[in-house]
Amino acid sequence: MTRSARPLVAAVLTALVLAGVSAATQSVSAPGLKAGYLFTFTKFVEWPADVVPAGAPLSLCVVNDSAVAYVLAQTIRGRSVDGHGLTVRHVKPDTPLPTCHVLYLAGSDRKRALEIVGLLDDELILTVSDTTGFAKTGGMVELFIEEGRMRFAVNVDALERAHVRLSSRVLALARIVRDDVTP
Amino acid sequence: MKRRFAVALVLSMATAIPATGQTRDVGQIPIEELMEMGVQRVFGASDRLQPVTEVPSSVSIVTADEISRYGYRTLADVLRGVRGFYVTNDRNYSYVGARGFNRPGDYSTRVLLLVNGHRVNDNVYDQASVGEDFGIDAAMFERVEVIRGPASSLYGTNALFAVVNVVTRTGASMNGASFDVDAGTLGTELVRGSVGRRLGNGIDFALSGTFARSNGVTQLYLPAFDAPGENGGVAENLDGEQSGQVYGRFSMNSLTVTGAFGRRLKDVPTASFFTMFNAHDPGQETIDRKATVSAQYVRALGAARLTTEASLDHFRYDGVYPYASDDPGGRPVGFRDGFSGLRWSVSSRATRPLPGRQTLTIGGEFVDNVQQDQWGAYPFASIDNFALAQSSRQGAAFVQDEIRLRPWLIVNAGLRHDRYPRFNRTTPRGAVIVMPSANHSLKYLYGQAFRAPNAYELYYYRDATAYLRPESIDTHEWVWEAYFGERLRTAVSTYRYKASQLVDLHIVDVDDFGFANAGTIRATGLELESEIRLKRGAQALASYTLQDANDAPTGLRLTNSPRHMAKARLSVPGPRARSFASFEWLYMSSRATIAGLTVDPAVVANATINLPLGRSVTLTGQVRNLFDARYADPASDEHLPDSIEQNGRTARLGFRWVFWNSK
Repeated sequence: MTRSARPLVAAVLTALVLAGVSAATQSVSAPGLKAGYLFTFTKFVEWPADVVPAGAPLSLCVVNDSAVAYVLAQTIRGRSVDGHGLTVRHVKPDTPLPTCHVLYLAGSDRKRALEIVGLLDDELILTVSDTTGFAKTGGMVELFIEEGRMRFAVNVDALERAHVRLSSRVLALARIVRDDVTP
Repeated sequence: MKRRFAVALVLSMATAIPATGQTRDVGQIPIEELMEMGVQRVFGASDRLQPVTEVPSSVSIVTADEISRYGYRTLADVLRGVRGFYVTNDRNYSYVGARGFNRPGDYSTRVLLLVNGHRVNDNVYDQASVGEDFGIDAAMFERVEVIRGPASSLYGTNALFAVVNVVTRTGASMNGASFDVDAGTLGTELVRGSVGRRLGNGIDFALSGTFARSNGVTQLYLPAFDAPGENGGVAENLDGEQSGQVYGRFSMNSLTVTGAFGRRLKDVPTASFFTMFNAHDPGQETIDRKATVSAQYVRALGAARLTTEASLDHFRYDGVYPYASDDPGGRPVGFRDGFSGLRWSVSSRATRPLPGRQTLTIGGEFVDNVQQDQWGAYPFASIDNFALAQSSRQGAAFVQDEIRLRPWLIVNAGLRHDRYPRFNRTTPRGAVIVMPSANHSLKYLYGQAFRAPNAYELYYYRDATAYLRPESIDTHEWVWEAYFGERLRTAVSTYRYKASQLVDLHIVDVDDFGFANAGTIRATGLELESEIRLKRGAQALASYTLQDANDAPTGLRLTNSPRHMAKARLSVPGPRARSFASFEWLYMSSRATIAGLTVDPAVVANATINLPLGRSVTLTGQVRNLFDARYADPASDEHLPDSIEQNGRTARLGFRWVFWNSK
C-alpha cells in the first residue's frame, strides 16, 4: 500500500500544481464534480456479496438532477467496480425508487430528501445529497461548497446504522459529522 | 418517462459540459484532486453543512486508530492525552481532572461518563471510573468523544466540567476474529479474544473478552511509613491488579443491544483509611463490578428521527480494610465495606428540522434506582457495623433548538428540567456561533450545570437528606476554531466558571464526619491546540493549557491543580504498510497537596511501535515513562502519605493474530 501509494501521491501533487497554474482550465461544472464524487464513492464502498451478488450490476440512482445523471452515465461507460457492472438511473421526484446501491438526492428540499432517506430503513444504500444539513440529520454524505471548492461531509453514525463501510481513504478527507446529539 | 428523460438530457448537456469546452473524464480524477477543483456554479445561498466548527461546544475526538497507535490500554490513558485533561492515580483508582478541578478525595463525580450516549457513572458514589474498573477494554472503543463544558441542559446531573462519551465497536468495524497476547514488566499479562462481523442478513454482532493482570510494584517503598516495625516502609506484593471484561453488541435493522460486564480487583498498598500497613491476612483490596445492558431503537418518522433506549445497570463495590487487632500479635481484622446499585432507565429523544432553518430536539428520561445499598461491617458485632438500603427515582425532560439566523450566524439554546425526590432543577444553556468565513468559527457559550448529592453523600456518614442541596456551576466560554485546508486545524478557547454549593467532607472530630454544601470555586483557563494530518497517516497534535482554579473564600489555588499543562504527540508511518511509530509527551506543572506542600512538575514520555509481521500478525511494543521520570500525584486525606509516587519506566510487548476477516 505505501509503496504503491507513492506514484499516486506524485500524480496528485502534479495535478495540484497544474490546477494551481491553470485554475481556469481545471475547474469543472458542479454536475461534473458531483458525478466524479459519486463514481469515486461507489469505488470506495465495500459491497458485500449478500447485497450485490458477484457479477450483478451496481445501480446508481440520481433523483431530480438530469445533468448529474448525464455526466455520471458518461463517466461509468466501460467501467466496473469490483467486478460489478454499473448502471445509472435518473429518477423523477415523487416516483417510486428502483433498486439503488448509491442514491443521489438533488435539490434544496431537505425535508423531502430526509423523508426519502427515512423510507430506506437502514438498507445498505449509500445516500448522497447537496441538500444543506443532509449529513447532520440522518443522511450519509453531503456535498457542499467551501471557498469555491466542492467538499464533502460524512455522517459516520448514519454509515454505521446502515452498515455501509466507506474506505478510510475517503473518510480521511471528509469532514466528519455525527447525528445531531452533540450538545 | 423515457422520452422526457431524453429531452432533459439534451437540455442539460449545455450545463453539464464544462464551460471551457474541455471535457475531463471525472471518473479518472483522484478524490484528492476533486476536492481541489474549482466549482463553476455555486448552488444555493448557504451551501455549507454543519461541520465540527458549528457544534456549540469545544469537542475532541480520539479514534480507534489513535488508541491503537498510541497503545492506550484504558480510558485513563486516552484522557491523559486530551487537551485540558489530566488523570491522577493513588494506586487504587484513577481520577479525571478537567478545567483545573481534580481535588484529592473526589471520585471524578463532576465529569459525566457515557457509553454510546448512556450514563455509566454509578448510582451510589457517582464515580466516573476510567481505569481498568471502567469495565470495557479500550480495544473495543470505536472512538472517545470529549465534550467540554457544562451539559446538564441535555444530560442532567454530573455534567459540570465535561462529558466523555465512549462509542464502542460494531461487528462491521471489527470485521473478523482476533486473538491478542501481551506481556510486560511489573508482571503484566493480557489475553484478549474478539470476534465481530456484519452478516449477510443484516445482523451485526461483536463479542470480546479480555483478562489482564499485573503484579504492580512488588516492593513499594512509601517513605511516610518508614518507621520501626513497619517493614522499613515497604509494602510487599500489595500493588497487584486483575481485571476481566466481556463486551457484546448485537444489532439488527433499527435495534441495537449492547452489553458489558467488568470486574476488577486491586490490592491497595497505601494503607488508606488508616488501616494496617503491609497487612496480608487479610490484605487491603477493592473489587469493582459493573454490568450494563442497553437496547436502543432508532426510527425515522417523516423528517424526524426518534431514538428510544432502555437500560439496566448494576454496580457493585467491595472493599477489605485491615485494622490492627485488639489482641497484641493477633491477626488484622478486616472491615468489609461495600455498595450495590441497580438502575433501570428509559429515555427517548426526537430530532427534526423545522421551518425557518431550525433543528429541534426534544426528549425525556426516567430513572429508577431500584437499589442504592451500602454497608460496612467488622467480622464481629460492632457499633460501627451498618447496612443501609435505599432506592430513589428521578425524571427529566429537555428541549434544544438550533436556529440559523444568517448563513454565518447560529444560535443554539437548550433547557432541561430535572425532578428529584427532594428538589427540582431547571438548567439552561445557550450558544452563539459566528462564522466569518467558511473555515473559521467563533463561539460564545454560556451554560449552567448541576450535580445532585449522591447516595454516598446523603447516607454513608449520617442521614444528610434534610440539608444537602445540589451543587451548581456557571460557565462562560469563548472558542475560536480554524481549519487551514484539510490538513491543519487549530483551536483556542477560554473559559471562566464559578462552582458553588460544592459538597465537601467536613471533619469536625474523629467521630464527627459529614458532608455539607460548603465549597465555592472560581476558575479561568486558556487552551490552545493545533493538529496536523499528513499523507500516509502521519499526524501530530500539540496543546497547551493555562488554568487558574481557586478556592473562592481563601483565594488559594486548588489542590492537585497544575497551572500549566502541555501535551504533544506524533505518529509517523514506518517502512512497512500499516506500521507506525508513535510518541507522546505529557507535561504538568507543580501541584499543591492537601498538606500545603507541592509535588514537582511531571514530565512523562511514552513511545509505541505497531509493526505488522506478514498478513495476519501484528507486533506492538510500548515503553511508558520512557525516561524513567520520578513524579508523584497528590493524595487525598484518606492516605497517610501526602503524595503517592507513580510508576517509572515500564515496557510491554504484544502480538495480535487476525483471522476470519473478509479482506
